[in-house]
Amino acid sequence: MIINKIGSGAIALLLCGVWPAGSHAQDKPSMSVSLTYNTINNNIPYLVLSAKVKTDGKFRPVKGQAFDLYLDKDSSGKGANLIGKITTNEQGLAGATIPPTLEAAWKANTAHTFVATSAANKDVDASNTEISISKARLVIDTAADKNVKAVVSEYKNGAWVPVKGVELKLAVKRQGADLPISEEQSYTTDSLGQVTAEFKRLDVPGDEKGNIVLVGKIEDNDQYGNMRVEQSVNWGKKFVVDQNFFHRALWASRFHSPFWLVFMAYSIIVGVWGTVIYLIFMLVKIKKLGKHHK
Amino acid sequence: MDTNNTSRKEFLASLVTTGLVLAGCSSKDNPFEAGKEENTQLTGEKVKLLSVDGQVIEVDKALLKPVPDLPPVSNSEARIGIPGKKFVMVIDLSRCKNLRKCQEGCNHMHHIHSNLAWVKVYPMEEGEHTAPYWQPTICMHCDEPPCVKVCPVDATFKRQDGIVLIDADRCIGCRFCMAACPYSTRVFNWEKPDTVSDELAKQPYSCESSVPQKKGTVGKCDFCPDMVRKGELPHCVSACPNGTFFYGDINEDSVTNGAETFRFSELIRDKAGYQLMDDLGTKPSVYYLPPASRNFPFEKGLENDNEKI
Amino acid sequence: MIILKYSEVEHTLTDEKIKTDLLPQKFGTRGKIWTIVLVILCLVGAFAYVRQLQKGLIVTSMRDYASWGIYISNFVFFVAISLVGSLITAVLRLSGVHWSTPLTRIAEIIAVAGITFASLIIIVDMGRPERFYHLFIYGRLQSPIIWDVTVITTYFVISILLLYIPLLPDMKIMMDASKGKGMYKLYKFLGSFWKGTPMQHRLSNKAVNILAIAIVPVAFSIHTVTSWLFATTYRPGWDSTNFGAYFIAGAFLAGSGAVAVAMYVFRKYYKLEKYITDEHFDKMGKIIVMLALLYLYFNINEFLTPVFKMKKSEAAFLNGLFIGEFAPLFWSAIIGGMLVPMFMLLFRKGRKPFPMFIAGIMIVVGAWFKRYLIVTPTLLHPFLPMHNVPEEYKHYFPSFDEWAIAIGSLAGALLVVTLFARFFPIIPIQETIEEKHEKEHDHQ
Repeated sequence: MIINKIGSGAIALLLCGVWPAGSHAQDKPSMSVSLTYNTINNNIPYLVLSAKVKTDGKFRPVKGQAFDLYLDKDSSGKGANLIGKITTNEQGLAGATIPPTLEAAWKANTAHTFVATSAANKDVDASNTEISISKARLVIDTAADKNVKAVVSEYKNGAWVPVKGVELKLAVKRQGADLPISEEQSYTTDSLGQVTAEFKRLDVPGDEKGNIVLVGKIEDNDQYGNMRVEQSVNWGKKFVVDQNFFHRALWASRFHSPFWLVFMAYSIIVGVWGTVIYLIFMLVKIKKLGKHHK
Repeated sequence: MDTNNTSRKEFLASLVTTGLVLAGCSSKDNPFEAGKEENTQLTGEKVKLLSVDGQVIEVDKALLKPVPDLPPVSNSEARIGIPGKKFVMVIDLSRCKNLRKCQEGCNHMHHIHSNLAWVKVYPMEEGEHTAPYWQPTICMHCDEPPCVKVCPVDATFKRQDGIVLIDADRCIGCRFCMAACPYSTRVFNWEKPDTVSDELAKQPYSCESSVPQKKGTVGKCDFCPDMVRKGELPHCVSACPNGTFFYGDINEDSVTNGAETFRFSELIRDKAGYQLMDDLGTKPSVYYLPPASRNFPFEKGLENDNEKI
Repeated sequence: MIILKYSEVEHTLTDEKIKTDLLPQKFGTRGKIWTIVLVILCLVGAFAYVRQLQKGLIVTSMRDYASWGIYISNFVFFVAISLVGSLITAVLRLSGVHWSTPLTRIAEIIAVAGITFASLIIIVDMGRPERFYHLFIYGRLQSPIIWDVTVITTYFVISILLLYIPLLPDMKIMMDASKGKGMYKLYKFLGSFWKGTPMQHRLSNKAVNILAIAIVPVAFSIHTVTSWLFATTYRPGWDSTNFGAYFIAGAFLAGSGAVAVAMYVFRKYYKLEKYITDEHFDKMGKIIVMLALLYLYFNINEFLTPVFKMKKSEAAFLNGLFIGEFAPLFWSAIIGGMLVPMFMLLFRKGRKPFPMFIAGIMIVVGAWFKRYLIVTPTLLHPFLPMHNVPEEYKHYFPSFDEWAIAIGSLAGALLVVTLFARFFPIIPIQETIEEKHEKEHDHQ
């Protein structure tokens, strides 16, 4: 056995040495693939795959790379549950949802594994990535004034069972980011799978009626992936947009000049150019006089 | 913050739209997605998808595709701006170390030469006995902009969301705006920019992306309205490893540097925010937090500086 | 008012002699060389401009800090020089002064040449000259540049009218003198309808009077509005309420200097000693002294008060101007361009033709450098530090192409004046004849 191994190893080494200089099998950069499982508003779960490769010390996205996505089993097994074949885009991202053909397999368990594989090509080696998740949902309850109740539950045997010890964040949806509702960065669910938090961002501006969007999110959880729930609630301050912009001003567009400027400028222009036109008339008159005179 | 996170967020954001639409949530209070909704026409073709609890849901095919990049807005839309918003920036001077990653990021994404950078980092010292600090300076997007007042052809204009933009197809290159700006924030393309490839030069120009820059016209920081429309943050904000730049909407009273989000009014109150040269009456939209309890000594920034002070 | 001694003139001059004396003359060798040199300078400037159009403004030394350079200071200089038309033709005429009549056309052609090249040099300074029409279809009324375009166009039209209408009586004389020659057609086109009837005279005089009244506020406007291109900004050295009056005083001084130079040149080369007499130089010299004192007053106002305060934003700029990198140029412009000529002209001997010519040249050259000192030093002292930029951004010395174009534009203006004097009478013939008749009538 050992001799065989050494033998095959030796042959492999030999082959490497004999291999034409053009081949740089060991120089291919390894692709770094990450797979995330995401749910928005507890609706349709989807997967996002990100492929990057490290060149010159910097990570660059891999575009146009084909991947096969499987549910629970990978290609080596028979009856593999192929979710789909996806290709990364310009930013090295690709996404997929679970097709209804896998309904039975999906319903079978609470916990699932997703596997993404790609074949080797001239640029990168083959890759195999997998993540394991459990089906869950996040529900926020805003019935109590300025108090948020969030519940995380897993889908076990056709029922939603609360989960303890899940870290989640509660925030107000804002421009480009979410503003946490209090000083606490995150909350952890108790034995009832619940989190109760006080909404401390009083008088945060909302729309004209005072509506704001409350966000509950679970980020990068080992079991549940990324979850995000948004809900509109009337806890904000009423906000009316300042109409100052539409007034006439020196810095406005050319159609919104201040009235005093328009008046002054046009009076002066009309006055002076009126005189000039009158003078040109006089010149024309002189010309006519000259023509008539013998 | 690396760019990877932001592009993933963007991808997610496009799927979020789909998710929101599927869930039946009203996205009327978010004007960004309104545009996406209008763009997607229902084809009538339904696709079946699985929900979390194993239900089969039918969804129109058009809503499922990740929405492609928003096409650049028209010139008249670019001149009006995004209604209901008023963008501001807060720069925390205690965090700046003169790494100039902000400058690198902005230069790279806007294809501008490093000599004509829109983000500049100055070593500042008020008086003889005051402590020096590094000050990243960008366009202040003033509410009473002297540059807009003097432009003869409406090539630079103020929008209702507070952003002051430049239309390089209108600019005649008189450089009056450069003389008028007290913050020295405007640069001029004295020649055809060599950072713009021929391919890029052929692409349609949008005031909101300010790409490609054109010879004989003025350029400056534009608050990245094209990124903001997608729900992203400007490139300088994402590029700074110390989170020095905070960007947000004063109407929503919130600013973020990507990692941390604060209420704008609280941040300014607690850290004594101020504006630069506000005595000139320009009413800038950029606020500074004084370099109190700074994270790095001033001298650290000298290492990265290629100029003697 | 001093009555000129026309006794000499009266006895030796007849109407016919006046006409032949004042007709434009062919250029001798010196004139031809002068014209050729000017044409060459213009062509060199034109070639340099073609280079600039191809490569962009990078061929200049202007960069992001010194974003305005000698094109703009040339522009201000041209606008300044062009004010003299209104001074001599309008202000003096309206004050009832008659001795300045021989000088009106000189002043007017300098004005027209000045304002024409002001417009041309400003187009040269534009980064996108092909978009010039944007000023008219997209113009913003709030912008001082639009005000400037408006007043300059108006002043140009009024100056042309003020040059043309008094020229009409002389066109007939020119037509008579050039029958059968090439220029006859031009004179015919311009003034064949002038028959000299009383009605025509009346209209012409009325027109000239209206023009004289109209041009004064317009002339004041052009230079005030040009000064507002600087004074409406916050920069040290420009943020001054004094700028309008300061610029106008400087403009009158510079223009008068130019007229003094032109007076001497035409008198010498066209042998016009009987028409541009020593008395004219004497009076012009006194006017220049007064204008120099006025400009000195405004300069003191402009600089003394900021120096007293030494505001932080202005300190570096003021130091640079008085004792720093711009000091040699500044003091040369003040002393050589203002104080020395003024001092020279205080004395009767200094107001003789040749010293006036020298003083005039010193004033004009000093004025050109003074305009440069208004434009660039301020830009090199911005509020925020000039940091992390190439070294060349922190200084400004015009490049070869810039000099070529600027000198080309000056040569062009001189060429316009030269060509005008070659083909049109530089001293109004008909008016001189009429003035002579009036004086004879008065004496009788």
